Amino acid sequence: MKKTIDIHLGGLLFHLDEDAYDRIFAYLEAVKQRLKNEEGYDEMLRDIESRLAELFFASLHPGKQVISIHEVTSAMETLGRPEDFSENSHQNEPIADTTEASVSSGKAMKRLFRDVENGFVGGVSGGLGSYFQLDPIIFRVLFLVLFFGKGIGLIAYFILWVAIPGAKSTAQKLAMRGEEVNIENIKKSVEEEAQRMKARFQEGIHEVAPAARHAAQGMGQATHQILKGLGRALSSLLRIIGFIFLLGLGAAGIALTVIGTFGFSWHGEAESGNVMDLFLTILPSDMASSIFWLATGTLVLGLLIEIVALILRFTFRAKITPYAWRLIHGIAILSAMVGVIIWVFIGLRTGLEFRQEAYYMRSLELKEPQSHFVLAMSSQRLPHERNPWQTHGKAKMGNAEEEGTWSTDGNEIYFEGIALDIKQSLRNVPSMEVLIEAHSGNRRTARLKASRVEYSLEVRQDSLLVGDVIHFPFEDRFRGQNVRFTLYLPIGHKVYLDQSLLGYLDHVDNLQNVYGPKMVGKYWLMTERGLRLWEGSIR
Amino acid sequence: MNTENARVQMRKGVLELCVLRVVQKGEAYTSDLSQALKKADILVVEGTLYPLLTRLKNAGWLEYRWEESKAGPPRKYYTLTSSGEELLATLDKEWNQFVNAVNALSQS
Repeated sequence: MKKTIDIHLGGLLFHLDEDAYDRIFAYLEAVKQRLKNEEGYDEMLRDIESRLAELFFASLHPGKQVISIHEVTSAMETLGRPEDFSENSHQNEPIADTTEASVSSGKAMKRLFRDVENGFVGGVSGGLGSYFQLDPIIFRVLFLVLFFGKGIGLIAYFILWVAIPGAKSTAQKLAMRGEEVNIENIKKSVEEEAQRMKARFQEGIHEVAPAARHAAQGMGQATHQILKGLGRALSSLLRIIGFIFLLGLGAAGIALTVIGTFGFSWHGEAESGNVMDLFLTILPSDMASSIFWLATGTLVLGLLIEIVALILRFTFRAKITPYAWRLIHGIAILSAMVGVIIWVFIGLRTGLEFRQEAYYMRSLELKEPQSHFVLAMSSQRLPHERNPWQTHGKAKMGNAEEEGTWSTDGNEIYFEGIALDIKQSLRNVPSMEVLIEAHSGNRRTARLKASRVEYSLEVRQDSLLVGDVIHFPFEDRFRGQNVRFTLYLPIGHKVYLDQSLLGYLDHVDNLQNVYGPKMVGKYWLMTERGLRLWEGSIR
Repeated sequence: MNTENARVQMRKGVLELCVLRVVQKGEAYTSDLSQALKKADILVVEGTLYPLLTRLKNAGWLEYRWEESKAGPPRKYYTLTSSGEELLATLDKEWNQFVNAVNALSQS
């Protein structure tokens, strides 16, 4: 059993074997290329098609209804090679090429196409590889490496994907490889393609193993057809999922790049609670949360339309006309694209709100005439520690070296976003400086957001208690809010660093050149040259 | 020595004249033309005729009429126009002069 393809030629309908169709299609393409600049092109083409129809018609009789490769070849012999069709051409002159150089070299001019068939994703690397005569793996690795550089690789790939046309026709595939577009090469290429498909199909059968083949026979032809249909649907589906996935990643990449460009890193994830809250903690406050559903919904809708159509088409063999198919496909892609565009818009708006940073500073003089302090961290509870259902996650912002936990009760965002430092004071009174940072689209709102950040700092008789959690209104969103406490210690003053400070002392300059674990639980003395470990006794 | 190219060029040069001569003898369809020219060893494949016929028709030297065919789509039958006849007469004269001139070269 062979598959046939119906074609119209000179007003008549013909059934062609698949290979016969491929051959005649490539032939007519080459003839068109050859004649396209001649006067009376349309008329000539009609005449040629009529003549082909006549030749095919003559070969048919009641016992033979299908045109095979044999009839096609003999018709082509009668009409001649595409090169013979142009009046003032030299023999073997390449078609579709006006450059003199390519005539003398015998190689046609190379054009950049995407290698759709041999590509992993969109065939961009394959196409570039063909163009520069390098192994495509080089470009794949390059894109992958660039992907980790704030997603630049993805964006570049995405742009190239859209910008470079795919090599669809045989002539384009040849142009991609820089081979001359003449009938021999087209024929060769089509035949190679047919061989490849055949090999792939047979490989598939072998892989499925005899048992499966046996089963397929047992289940009968109908089931076999459905299985085959499912296989085709699945492979189409995988490509489309890959496509949409890449679109999504592209959008995320753009958003990340924008945020990255403005010199601010934000990283967040939800550990429990709902994703919507996580999303709302970063979404610009004037954006309705519905935009999240709109962006996600259109993306998913596009995917669903495609899946349903594919299942109908391949599994249930629904009759979908090419026009309707293109329409459905168009709607699906459009829907997905709308989703992506909204995501990009959200990303850009969010990124821009990190553009401008502002600081808000408060200073507290410690007037008690103490010659030594105890500095300690008071561990404060986050909303989710009281109610595990509250949304919480991890985030890293601004100057913070480590990521901290965040949590929200819907009114306020709580975040472990503090840093600690100890410096020499130029005055003789110790003081605590509190520097609050926040970002926004402009300096005024950034300052406003900084001023709304609340922190905890308690001064007791001989001790300073810093709260490890800051909080700010939910509508301020995560905009890089963080607080840096700096203890300014006059020369001669001592401070005891409590065990609770472990994890906050990794970057405090000291003469011993030690950090965290070796600093806590000890007295430290501020000298002229800096902070020094004090091993003497304390009165 | 590549004689093939010279032969191809020569045939190409007289193809137009040959087509006009065949058409003059009576209405002709593309495949009639190609058969006559193939027999005369002037033409190898039909394809070459299509641009030529279209050009001659557009120049007003040939005209055609449609005829229904039992063996497929309707066919175009070409005939000479009056200006085509004139052209052929001129070309014939030139051809004879040309043949004489070429022959004279080898005799002298």
